Amino acid sequence: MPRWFRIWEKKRGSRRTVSRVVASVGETFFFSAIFFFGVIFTAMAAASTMLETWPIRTMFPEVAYVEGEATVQEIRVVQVGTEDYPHYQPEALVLLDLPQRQHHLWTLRRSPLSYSTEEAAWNRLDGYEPGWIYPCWYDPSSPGQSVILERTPAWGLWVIFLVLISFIVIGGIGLIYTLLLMGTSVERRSAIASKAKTLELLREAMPATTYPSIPNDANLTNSPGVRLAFRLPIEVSPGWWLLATLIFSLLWSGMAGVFFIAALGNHLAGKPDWMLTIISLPTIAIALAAISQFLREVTAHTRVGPTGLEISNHPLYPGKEYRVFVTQAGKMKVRQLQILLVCEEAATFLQGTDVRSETKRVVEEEVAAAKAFEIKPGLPFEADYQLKVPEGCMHSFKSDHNAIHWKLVVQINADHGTRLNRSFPIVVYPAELEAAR
Amino acid sequence: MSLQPKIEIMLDRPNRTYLPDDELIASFEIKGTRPSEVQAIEASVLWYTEGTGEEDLATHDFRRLLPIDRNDADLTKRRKFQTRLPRSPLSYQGLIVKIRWAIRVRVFMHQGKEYMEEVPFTLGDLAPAVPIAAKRSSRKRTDDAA
Repeated sequence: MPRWFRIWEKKRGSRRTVSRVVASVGETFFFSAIFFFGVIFTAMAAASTMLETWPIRTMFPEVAYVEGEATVQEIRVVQVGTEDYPHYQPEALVLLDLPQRQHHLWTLRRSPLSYSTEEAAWNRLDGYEPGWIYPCWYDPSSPGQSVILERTPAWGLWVIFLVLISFIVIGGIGLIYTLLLMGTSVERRSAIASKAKTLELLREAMPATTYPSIPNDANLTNSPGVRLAFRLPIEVSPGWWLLATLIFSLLWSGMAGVFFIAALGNHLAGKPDWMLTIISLPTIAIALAAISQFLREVTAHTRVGPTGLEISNHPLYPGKEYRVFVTQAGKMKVRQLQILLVCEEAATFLQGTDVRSETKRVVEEEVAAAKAFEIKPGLPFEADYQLKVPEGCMHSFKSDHNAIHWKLVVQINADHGTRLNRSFPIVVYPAELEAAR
Repeated sequence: MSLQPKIEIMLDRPNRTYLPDDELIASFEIKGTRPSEVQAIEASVLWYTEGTGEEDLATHDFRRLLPIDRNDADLTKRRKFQTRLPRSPLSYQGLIVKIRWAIRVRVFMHQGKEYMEEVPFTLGDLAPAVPIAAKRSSRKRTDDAA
C-alpha cells in the first residue's frame, strides 16, 4: 500500500538520509572553509597591524602613531551641538616641536569628547597646566593634523582578532573531529569512548562497575532510616512543584492583567478593540485556572504532610522479598493509601529539532493498600509492608537515550478531592547469578 | 574487479543463549575475496537499543585486525575469539525499549568499501514485556478459571 506523503510532520530521529561519505566530505569542506578563512584573515590582520598598512591603519589610525612630547600652551572648552542641545568639548592647544618644523593644534583625543555640562568638560581638563610638557602621540606622515594627548584603547582591534581566532579554533576542532570520525565505525568510536573511561586517572575517580549500564544507587542509600535500613529520597520534591505552579500563575496572571486593563481601557474610552478583547478572554481564563490550581496545591500540601518511605535493603533483586515502612503525616481523612511497585520504560528521541521523550509502564504491582482512616496532626500514619520484586523482570537500565526506571509510588486519595502521587526511585539489579543458573 | 566478501560468524552455542559471566566463544571467516583486498577487520561484541528512542550502542569487546599486525597477513582465514560476558544489561524485549546483544564483524576493503555482518545472541533469559492491560486481563481470566 502506498504511504501518504507527510507534509507537516517533522523528521524523526537522527538517522541520516544521505550517504555517510557525502556527509563527511561536506563537513570536512565546511570546517576547512571556516578554518582557512580564520587563518588567512588573522594573518592579514596581523601583517596589516605590524606593517601599519590598510585595512587596520584605516580602521585604527592610532596603531601607526609614534610617541613624542608636546607643550600645552592653552586649555579651553568649546560649545558644540545645537542651540537647544549644547555640548561642551574640552581641548588643549599643544605645541609639537619637531626638527623639521613646529606644529600647533587644538586637540585632546582622536575621537573628540563632549559633555552635557560645561563644568564636566572643565573637570576633564584637570591635570593639564599651560606651559607644561606632556607625552603626546602623532602620525609621522602628518604630525600637524594628528597630534593627541590621550590615546583611545583599540578594543575594536582586539575584538577583530578574537573573532578571527575563534574561526580558527572552531574550524580546527571541527576539522580534526570530522577527520577522526571519517572511516571510523560506530563500534570503534564506542570502544574508544569506553577505553577513555578506563584511563588511569578516570579509573581512580570512577571505580569500575560490576553491573554496567545500571544506575548508581549511592544517592539512594546515603540516608539511614529510623525503622529500616534506608530512607528513600522522593523523586520530585513537592516544594519545587509548588514553586513552579506559583511562578507560572504569577507570570500568566501578570500578562492576563495587562491584556485585561488594556482591553478595558479601550472599552471605557469608547474605542473597543475587539481583537484584543477576544485574545484577553482565554488568557484570563487560563490565569484563573492557574491560580485555582496553585491554591488547590497549597491546600493539598498543607493538609497532606510529608511522606516517608523506608526499605530494608537496597539494591533490589527480582524474586526477593523486602520490607517497606511508610509514614504519612498531615491532617485528613484518607479514603485510600496505596503503595505501587512500578517499572517504566523511557525513551528520548529527536523530532525535527525538538527533543521528545516517551514513557511506558510495564510493571505495576500493588504492594499495599490501606483504606478509610484518619490522620491527625502529630499522629502520622505508619505501616510496615512486605514487598516482592516480580521474578524474571528487567533490571534498572540507563543509557544516553533509553532507560528503565523502577520506583515505589505512594498514591493518596483523601477527602475534599485531594489526590497525590509521590514517587521514590529504587534500583533493581539482575537476578543473582546463583539463582539464574 | 573486486569480489563482494561474505562474512561468516559462528557461535559456540547453537541456541545462542548465554548467562551473565558466561564465556562466549565466536569465530568468523571472510569468504569470496582475496586477502590482498582486505584492509582491516573489526570484530565486536556489543549491545544496542531499538525502539522508540534514539539508538544507543556500547561495545563490550572490540578488536581491530590489520594485516601488518599479523605474521600471516591473511585476514580472511577463520579467526576465533572469546570473551567473558558482563552481568548487564540483559537482552530485553520491552514495549518501547529493546536491548539486543550481537557479534558484529566489519570488513574494510582497500577501495574504501566496507561490509558488515551481525549475529544476534541472547544474554540472560528475560521474558518479553507485556502491556499492563494485557497482563491484567490474563490475570482476570486465570482468577475466573480458578
